[in-house]
Amino acid sequence: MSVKKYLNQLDKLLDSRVRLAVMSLLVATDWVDFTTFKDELGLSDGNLASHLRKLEEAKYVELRKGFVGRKTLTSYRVTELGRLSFQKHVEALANMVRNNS
Amino acid sequence: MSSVDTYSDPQEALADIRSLMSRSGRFLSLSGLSGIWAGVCALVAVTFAYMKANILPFSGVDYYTAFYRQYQSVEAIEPYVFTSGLITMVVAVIGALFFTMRRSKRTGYTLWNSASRSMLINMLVPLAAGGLLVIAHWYHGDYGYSAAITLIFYGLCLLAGGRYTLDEIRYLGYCEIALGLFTAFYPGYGIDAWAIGFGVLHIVYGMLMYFRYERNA
Repeated sequence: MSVKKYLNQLDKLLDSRVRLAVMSLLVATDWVDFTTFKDELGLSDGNLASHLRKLEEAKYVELRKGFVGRKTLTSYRVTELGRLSFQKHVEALANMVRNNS
Repeated sequence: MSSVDTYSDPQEALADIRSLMSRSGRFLSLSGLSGIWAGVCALVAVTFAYMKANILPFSGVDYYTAFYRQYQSVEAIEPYVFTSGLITMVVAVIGALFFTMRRSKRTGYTLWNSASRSMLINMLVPLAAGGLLVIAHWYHGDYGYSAAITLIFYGLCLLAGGRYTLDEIRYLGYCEIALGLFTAFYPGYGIDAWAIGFGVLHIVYGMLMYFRYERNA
């Protein structure tokens, strides 16, 4: 069985390590704020923000702005679409592993 | 994190996903059906309690007095309330575990992880304290505050556990505490507060959670 068959089932948007990591954190919890992402994933503000923006544009995540003192702090939560896409992507990965060994 | 932003090995990707998901530290398998089940158990038990003491809901007669009127004895109230309470709790917990295990199997999250462990320990402390306080009250021949104590401490237990699961459970906790404080001032409505707090509120919460998170999943 060829692995290629599953390649087109993979989600292009979730091919990225960072975006997949962001989604993995989000599907297992409720709201996660920007700082927590930064600490968990060890990324620069700009890099992380651009990945989050891509997920937001795809409507995989929704955001909410709050305040910590005077600074704004944005929190993110996975949407229904995001959860489904993530599940599909993980299934495709699992299929690839299963048929490769 | 590697400088190359994509995975070449799907196995590596899956391993990373698993570790990130467990690190985020919330317990999400708690099923709304567990709440509905617990609520139904409580309502059945309270119905038996009303019948046993021969009182109607919201009559304003405290349970102790009603029980005494019926049996001319107060000794009988302790084993009755204790055993029926214990049976209700065991049946409610077993059912709740069943629905939650079923959900955890479906969603693929583990049931026993660091989140559920911390949640359980944090909830057990106020729960045990409340239970022992009720027993201490009984020991001193005081029955009037049983409903208030159980509801308040159960509410605190939900607040303590709420940090480790979805936020909605905190509102259930606030409602239980408010109800407990109410019945501390009006002990005559203790058994009714039990029916609302452990029965109705659980069912409402369970249904909300079920329709919000589970029906389509």
